[in-house]
Amino acid sequence: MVATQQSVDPSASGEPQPGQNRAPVSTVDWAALVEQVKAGSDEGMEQLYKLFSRGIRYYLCRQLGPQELEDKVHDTFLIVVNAIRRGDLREPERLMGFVRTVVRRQVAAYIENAVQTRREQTDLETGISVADGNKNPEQVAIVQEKAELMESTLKALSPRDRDILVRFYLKEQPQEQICAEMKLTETQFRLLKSRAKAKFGELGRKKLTNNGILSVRVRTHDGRPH
Amino acid sequence: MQDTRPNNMNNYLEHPGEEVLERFVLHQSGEEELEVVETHILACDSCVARLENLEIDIAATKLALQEIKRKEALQSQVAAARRASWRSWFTMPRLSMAGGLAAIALGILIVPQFRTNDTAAEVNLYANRGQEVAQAPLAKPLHVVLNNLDLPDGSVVVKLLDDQGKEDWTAVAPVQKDQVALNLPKIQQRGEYHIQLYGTGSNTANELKEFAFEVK
Repeated sequence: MVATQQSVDPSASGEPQPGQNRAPVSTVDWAALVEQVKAGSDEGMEQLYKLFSRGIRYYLCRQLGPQELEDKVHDTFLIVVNAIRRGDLREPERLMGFVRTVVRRQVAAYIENAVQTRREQTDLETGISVADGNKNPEQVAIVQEKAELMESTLKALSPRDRDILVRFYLKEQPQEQICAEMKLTETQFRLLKSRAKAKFGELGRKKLTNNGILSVRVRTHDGRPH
Repeated sequence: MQDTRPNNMNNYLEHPGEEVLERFVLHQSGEEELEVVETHILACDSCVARLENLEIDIAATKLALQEIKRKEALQSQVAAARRASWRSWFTMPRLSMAGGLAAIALGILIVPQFRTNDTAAEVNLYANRGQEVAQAPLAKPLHVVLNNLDLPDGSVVVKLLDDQGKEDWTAVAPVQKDQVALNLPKIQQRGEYHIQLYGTGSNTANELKEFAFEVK
């Protein structure tokens, strides 16, 4: 739902304006970057790493969990760099899609490997590595604090409105199914969710203001994106 | 390894909207949308940050909704128990009232001498205890604590089954600090019983844990 800090002042948090802004990546000269990587230039490698490292790390962690994440990120970069050097990427402007293809294949390979290992070790119960969806302790604390804030807002909703949120967030039913079963238009559905989010944001703002966190954060923020 | 898909580069460069990211987090994106979002986030740090915030917010929403549902379930259980108790008073045939009063009077006089302690018996069950089967007393309220669950805090559906697999009792209970505490009704028949834990919401079909104990 709503990230309370970001909803306070989007410009201060460096959040993009969805659907309007183009990502910084739109200014990248793909042909030059690919040429640099092909030539083995350190600068090119550094730019490639800066561009994709956080995204690849997030994607692999989401799909495979945090186990041996750094090794997996490293392996993925090696594959991308070697493929570029071999000339497998013929159109440099397709580098983003190319990286996605490599990362997806890496994920498929890790899963296949885990399944194979599991088959071979069924008697041993060694604890095959599967995606660990657990958040770290700091994230858990944030989630719990936010959940406590949200509870009162959610309780104040009508049972029907709350049912919509339960179906969407808890039961993870698709929007189309919820709209069909509850006789809602797409607009009504969106409106309800955005109203709930606005209330959460308001509550979070109040809480942060009371704690003095917001003022400190706004004062010290340097405006750079995350 | 060459990417042969059509060149929709512009789509990849636009930051996705909030709804699109929400669908992505909830694994509800269609194929085309997934391609655009995945490709974009691989090279956009600010959208990764948005996704990380969104994941936390969705997790918090889920937790808050689960908590509300758990409290509602508990409230409705209590309300149902109260209704049942009042109904039994009103359905009692009038003629038996006199007999009832007499029995109460007799009880006041006689029962204290034979009174048994009806406080709940404590039963601790552990997930990793091997073959050892815990025991519980017959015809006594039971306060059962399920330990070493290895489950995250939240809610679970609890079912009590007899040795024939017949469901005797069910409830929604909170998991707190790796434990679930239950107040079970009196069990009137000796034998082996099982407590099964299931997920809530869309996971109600998933059996998470099973405990066995014997009533003697």
